Amino acid sequence: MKEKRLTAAGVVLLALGLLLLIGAGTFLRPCEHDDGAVSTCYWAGRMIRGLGAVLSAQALGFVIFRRASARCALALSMIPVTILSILTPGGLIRLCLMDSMRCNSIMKPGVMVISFIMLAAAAAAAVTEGMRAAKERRERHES
Amino acid sequence: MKASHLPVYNLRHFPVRTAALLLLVALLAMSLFCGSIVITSLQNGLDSLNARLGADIICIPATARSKVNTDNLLLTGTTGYFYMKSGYLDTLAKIDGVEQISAQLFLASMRADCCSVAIQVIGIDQQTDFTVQPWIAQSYGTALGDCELAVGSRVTSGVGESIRIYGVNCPVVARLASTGTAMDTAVYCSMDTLRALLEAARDLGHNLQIDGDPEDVISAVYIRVSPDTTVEAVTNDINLHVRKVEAVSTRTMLSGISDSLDGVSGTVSLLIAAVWILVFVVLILAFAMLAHERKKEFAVLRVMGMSRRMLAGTALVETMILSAAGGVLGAGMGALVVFPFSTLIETRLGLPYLTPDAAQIALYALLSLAAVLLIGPLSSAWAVFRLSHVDTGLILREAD
Repeated sequence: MKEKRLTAAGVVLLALGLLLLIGAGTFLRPCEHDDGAVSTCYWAGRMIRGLGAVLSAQALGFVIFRRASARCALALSMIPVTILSILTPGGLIRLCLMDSMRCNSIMKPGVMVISFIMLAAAAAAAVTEGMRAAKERRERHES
Repeated sequence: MKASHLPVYNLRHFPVRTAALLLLVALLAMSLFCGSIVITSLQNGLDSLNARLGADIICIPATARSKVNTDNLLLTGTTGYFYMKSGYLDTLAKIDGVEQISAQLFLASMRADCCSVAIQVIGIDQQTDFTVQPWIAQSYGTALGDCELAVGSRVTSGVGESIRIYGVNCPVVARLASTGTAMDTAVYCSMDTLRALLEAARDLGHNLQIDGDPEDVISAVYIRVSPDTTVEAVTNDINLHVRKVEAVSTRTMLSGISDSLDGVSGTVSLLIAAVWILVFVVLILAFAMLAHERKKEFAVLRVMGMSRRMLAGTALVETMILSAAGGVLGAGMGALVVFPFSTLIETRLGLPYLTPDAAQIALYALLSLAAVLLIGPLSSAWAVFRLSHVDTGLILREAD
């Protein structure tokens, strides 16, 4: 049976990946300073944009490839990237000193929420596609 | 297939219908959970502010009125610096009714030193302080040493790290418990440390507008009034007899905050009620429409031998499953909004905000779940009644 290209998991993963990529430059952008000063949160924002691009590419691959094993592998590969994305703001890259600043109050929670949902979606997609791949293998073996 | 499995099969075979109903119930649970958490956090913030309020009166230089909003001093903090001669401390101590008195010295750090934001540095007199010291004692047993800092919970530096203020590296030795107020955004040090920082700032060429010797200035005086007099009497006495000093009663500030909090809580409660009524009506309509659509399905089940009670049970179990799943989903969605964005909510509300503890959060999650488990079946009651009383013959004849 030919698999559907556009699955709910694919749409959700792609939308969240793009949200992270676009968000890190717009509504989830780090602190800005009138004098053009660059604080550490600026680099966290750049890193998140990079991770958003990687996740979007992986999600696009998930949508394009129809084989369950390929989709499972892509979903699995998204898990460590989403974890990295959760750990980046404030963990791997320090943010500004005050909790009330934009990077701490908007960028960090926003990125963490999107990444957390993406982690859950990627894990669920990996399980369902893994089960589908195993079923396909069994059917091939039996035939 | 067992009849008991029918509700699960029904839900699984109509994913769009199930998802739509699930979303409605989740919205209900989310609004209740988020609303409860926000209202409780505001109340906790006010209680915390009340508990943390060691002083009855705060005295600041009259010139500081242009720099700080005295009505909102407890919430916005004392961002900035203003100074008066330390001799005012002795003058104020002689006022009748003053039981305890302690001075504080303020300094705002440079932006570049502290990750692009000016932080408020507050020097406390550790011999006489009665407002900040009990709070510091909860997380740091001994007195603050030279250049040592205790940071409020909203300052992201941890114990063992250093904050560079005017070129001086100050190690963080304690992180204070959250109060949900402006006190969380400041860093605290001894008076000697602050005077050293003042010198460092002056050495770097910053004009701190200190009139005279930095060793001889203070920024604010905190007063606790003795029980045999009233706060108003002492406040008026200071404002009348001590020139160039303004005394502000903290209770006046608190009552203002309390009024604002009542207003916000009322608005949030109203919004929750509006969402509940709206979703309840939508759910009744949705279930009524579904009952109309599913008449034939239930007529067939009736012909197959299911009793009215079993049919009603099937429909009710479906609603219960939807309500339980929607309740958990809604509380989860609410948690993803209300906890990570708590700082943003606090900033936007401009009120003291202290998130409740885990036990209270779990209680609100359970209450939200219980509420949707009650409202779900209640909204479908009429539809269930109609479905279990379908006129089998008439429905099947209509189908022919």
